[in-house]
Amino acid sequence: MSGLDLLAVALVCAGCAFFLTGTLGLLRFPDPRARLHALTKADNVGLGLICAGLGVLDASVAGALKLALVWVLGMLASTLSAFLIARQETVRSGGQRR
Amino acid sequence: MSGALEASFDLLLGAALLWLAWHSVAAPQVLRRVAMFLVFGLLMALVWARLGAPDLALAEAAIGAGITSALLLGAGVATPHPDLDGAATRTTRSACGVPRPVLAVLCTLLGIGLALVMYATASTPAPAPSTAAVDAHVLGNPVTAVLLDFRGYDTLLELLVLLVALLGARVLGERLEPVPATAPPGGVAPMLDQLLAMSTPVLLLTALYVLWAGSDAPGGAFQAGALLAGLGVMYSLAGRLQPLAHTPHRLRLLLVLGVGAFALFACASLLWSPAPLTFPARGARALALTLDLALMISVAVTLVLLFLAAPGARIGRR
Repeated sequence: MSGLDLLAVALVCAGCAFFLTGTLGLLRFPDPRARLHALTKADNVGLGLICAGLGVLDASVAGALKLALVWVLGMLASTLSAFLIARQETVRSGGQRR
Repeated sequence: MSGALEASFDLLLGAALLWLAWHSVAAPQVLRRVAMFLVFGLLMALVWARLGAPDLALAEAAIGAGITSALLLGAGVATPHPDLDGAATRTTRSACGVPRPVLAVLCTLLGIGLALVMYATASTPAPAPSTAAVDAHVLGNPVTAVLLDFRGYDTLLELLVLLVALLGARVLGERLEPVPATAPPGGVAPMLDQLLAMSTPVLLLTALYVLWAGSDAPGGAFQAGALLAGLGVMYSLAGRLQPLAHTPHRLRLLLVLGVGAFALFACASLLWSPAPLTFPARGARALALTLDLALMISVAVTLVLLFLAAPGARIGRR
């Protein structure tokens, strides 16, 4: 196993740890907005780290660019859905912003 | 070592699928069931990908998990059914006034009848397209070749099923209590416009690419249509698309575009072949792409209108 492989494994493992933390927050946090907060922040970093790890493994510019695009699109999707869910939650809770 | 790892991953995947399938029908609340169904669809897509069927994986992720779950959410959110939510008010009569046991017997008979018909049809199978014929087809993607050429009739009927489903949803939607629209607070959201403006071209490009690639690589009209429908669902959730009380003529044209194109193709193909829905020797690729384009538009418009017809689409509107 070369040094690059080790780096990739470390990056992917770190990404998985972020995902695990985000999921823990999703399960344990009290209200929807706090859960969204945990999910969007931690998962975006997790996805970025996993993409970086896979990019190191792939070791080609085209592959790395594609993985970077996956990360950016993932963040775009999570921003949009988190915003819509949070707005819906504000409607449901009677318009109070805590 | 890696073989054992892969086998244990597959076992885990299979077990998770079974667990999710059970909970998507047996979970106590409707919302939880829909969530389970969504995750089931995503894992199913993973299974198809592992089985080496990327076309099915794409279709399952886009249609099975994405659009269907959105439709189920839209229908489930606003229709708290007494039976489904475990309330004690079980009625013995259905909505149309027929006693439930009678309905149960009728449905069982219908099911048995359908099964018998299907069994009779299955015992005289249509000749399956030979692998060699599929491989030699002008369309490089065997799945698209089968969908459009060898089994064009099935695809045509699938489109009709989608249309009938939309009609059914419209009829049912009129019988439901309208959900009072609640305005999202805070008025206009500038961030939302920015995000929509960023994701719209990306989704359009992806859908068109999936359609274009469908001739030779994994992809196709149904997947592309589902992606476009996802764009429509997004616009609807953002309050940019409102449920329609009446479908305008232009939209109706788009709805029947797929079926119409296929029917035209079936008639025209009699000019060069004794059997309908046969591709000509020349220009097959262009014809397939045209058909796929019409299919994609119809699939997308039907799915978006289905989503808008669900009562849940009226929540959170201005």
